[in-house]
Amino acid sequence: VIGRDAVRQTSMVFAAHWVLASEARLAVSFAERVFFRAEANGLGCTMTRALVPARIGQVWILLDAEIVREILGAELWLPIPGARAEMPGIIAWRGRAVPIVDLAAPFGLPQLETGESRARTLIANVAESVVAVPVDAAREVHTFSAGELGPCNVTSLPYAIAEAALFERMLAVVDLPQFVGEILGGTTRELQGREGGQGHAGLA
Amino acid sequence: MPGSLDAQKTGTALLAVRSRSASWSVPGTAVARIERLSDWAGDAPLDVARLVGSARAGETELRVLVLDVAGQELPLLARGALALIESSPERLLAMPAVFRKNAPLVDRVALIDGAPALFVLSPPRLLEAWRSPQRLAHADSVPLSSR
Repeated sequence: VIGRDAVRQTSMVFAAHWVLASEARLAVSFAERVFFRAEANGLGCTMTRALVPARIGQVWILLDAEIVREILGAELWLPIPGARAEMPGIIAWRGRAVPIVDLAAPFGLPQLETGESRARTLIANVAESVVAVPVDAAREVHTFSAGELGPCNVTSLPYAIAEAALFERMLAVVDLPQFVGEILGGTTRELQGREGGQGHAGLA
Repeated sequence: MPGSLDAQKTGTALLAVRSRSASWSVPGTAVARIERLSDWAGDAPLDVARLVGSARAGETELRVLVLDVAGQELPLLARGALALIESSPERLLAMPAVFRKNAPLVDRVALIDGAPALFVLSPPRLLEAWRSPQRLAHADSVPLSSR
């Protein structure tokens, strides 16, 4: 039989843990948003994030290196009738057809036209599947510390969740999974279908 | 219609229709015969270009591909040049699920020289579209060629 005091004491301990956990969650919420990775350095932990710089038109952005599987050259793509401007067609990659994601669409940049390719194609794992992101340039992965990443003050791109200085300018960290998730959910903010395309329910 | 016997045996020969407005193909094994449109006396053929691209006036090469779909004849209007393309199963990619709503008639995407280049249409779905065209009416309003 558990006495009333024991129950009260247990409840208080539980409540204290819950509060601590909540505070901890709040404290790391920004870190979680930008997917910091804790890396043991022997003395403690440093929060770092590996990002791939990529350029579309004249705009440099940063994409999470953890989701980038491969960087290809220019890839020929096939437009799909009625597809949205943000996901206008497919490329072939490792024996499968992979949707391409055109980040130029939400950024207000010139979109991919039929028969046109960009010099590099990032293959990324998103939404439990694979997408291809054509870009004009991509550079080697850079690792940023927590102090080097901050909220967006200089950049104003859609889907930007943070920004960092690189190449003597501020680059937005773009949340590709969120963008793709919104495309699949048919809730992309910036664009409607390029040609009246329908919303999408899922990815192969 | 010339074609590799091996390709026909494996069922991966594709009869491709290419024009300025749309390019598409069907499995070669499903094609029963081909007639000139001027010689065609059967039911109105399904205008595939209107479903997967846009039908443009001025196409001079108009033919009717008659498919045999589960014993039923399905006439397709083919605008443009015909070509028999030999493919293989590994060069026929499944359409990502995300696009199935946009391109319901497309069963596979054929690779040509390593790149996705040609839609392979599903004969059963074409037959369904021919029988009840209103179900695919939305596809008519989304021309591929204008992209």
